[in-house]
Amino acid sequence: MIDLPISIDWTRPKPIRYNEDIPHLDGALAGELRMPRCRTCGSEFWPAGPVCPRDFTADLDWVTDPGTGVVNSWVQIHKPYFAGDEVPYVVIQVQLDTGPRLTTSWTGPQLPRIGEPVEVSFRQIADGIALTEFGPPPPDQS
Amino acid sequence: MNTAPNRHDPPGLDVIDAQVHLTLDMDESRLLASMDALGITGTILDEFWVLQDQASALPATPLPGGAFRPLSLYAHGAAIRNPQRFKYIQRVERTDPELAAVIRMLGTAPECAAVRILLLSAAERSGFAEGAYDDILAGAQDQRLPVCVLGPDARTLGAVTDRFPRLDLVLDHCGYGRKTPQWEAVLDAANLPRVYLKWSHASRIFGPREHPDAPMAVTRAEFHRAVKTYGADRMLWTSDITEEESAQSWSQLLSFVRDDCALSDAEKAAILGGTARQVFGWPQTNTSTKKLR
Repeated sequence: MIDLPISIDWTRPKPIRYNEDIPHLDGALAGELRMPRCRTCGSEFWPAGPVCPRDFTADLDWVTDPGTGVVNSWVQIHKPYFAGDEVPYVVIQVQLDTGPRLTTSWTGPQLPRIGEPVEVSFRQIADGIALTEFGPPPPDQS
Repeated sequence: MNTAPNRHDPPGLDVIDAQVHLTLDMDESRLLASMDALGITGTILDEFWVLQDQASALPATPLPGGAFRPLSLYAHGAAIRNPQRFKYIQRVERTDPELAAVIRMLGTAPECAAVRILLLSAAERSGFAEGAYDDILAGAQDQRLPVCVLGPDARTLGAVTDRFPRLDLVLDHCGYGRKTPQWEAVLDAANLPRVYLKWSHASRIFGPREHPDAPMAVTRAEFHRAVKTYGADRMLWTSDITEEESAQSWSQLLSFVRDDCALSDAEKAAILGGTARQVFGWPQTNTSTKKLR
């Protein structure tokens, strides 16, 4: 188990552990971006589901994604929809280098730019629960 | 099927169908083609694929504790793509743990016209009057979203309108009564402020089962009573065509109001579209600009 940044004051809704998402959520707790992959066509996909969205086969496994990509789109939320929301906050859609698009939280100090390189990180928000986040790569890697 | 607008239509008749289910079969393209053929300008969509048990319908997402959250995946998309043709209503569940956030999001979605509550048991009906749904009603009132409600006991609606004086309540399907006393209570509810009536599924109350001799004559007479008590500006023509149990076509349901010689042009315009536009905050426009609220 790796040490993740911890947000002890997390009051926003926590992810629901749907069966299809459990490997992904447990991967975040282990510091890994785990993604479903079709063993027939070899493609990773998101969101997770019982069958591959390309060829509809159920022969799936999970792989650890490098967690790199670019900002495909983003939005800044100004209205607090959920209890505990601290606005404004930014939600981005990441185009992973491996193909899938992932909607996730933004960790950068400034607003994102379309096409900006990003890298995955993880934040523990409660016992046994961690979230996947994305932001600019650390300076020594950029 | 009569597919052409009636030559006796009032000029520029703007027809809004206040509820049609978007299904996997009656999809966006088929809806648009049918509406064009019938001369229907806009439709309020309630997305409904299939009933998976007595309580929940798809599409919905399961939530912890057995709750579920109805979704409007294709209806919302259809409304975004065709803002002058569609808005959608969203069914909400009082057991949703994020109910307040759900209603806040609906309130900021320009495509969402209203929320909808289904009261499918006697316990839910009494709970509605006694406050079990007040979180939904309060949230909708705060967001200025009307609430379409199926199956409330019309005799107890006054308690709800007293608690939520700024809320528009729309009674689905002629108040969902099946017997004469229930219908009389629905008519009495016209005395309450901000209560509206969808004229739909009238055959469930006034059809051959209840009135075997002259169901259409009775239906016509009761329709006129409803117009007199509620006023045309509080009635909404609604086909709910995919759930229509009589043999009437979508065109015939429209013709029932459009070709009623006893109604003035102004009354027809209100019942067939004007009231829906007012209640659901959907002004008629010739541009594609979207309203933000």
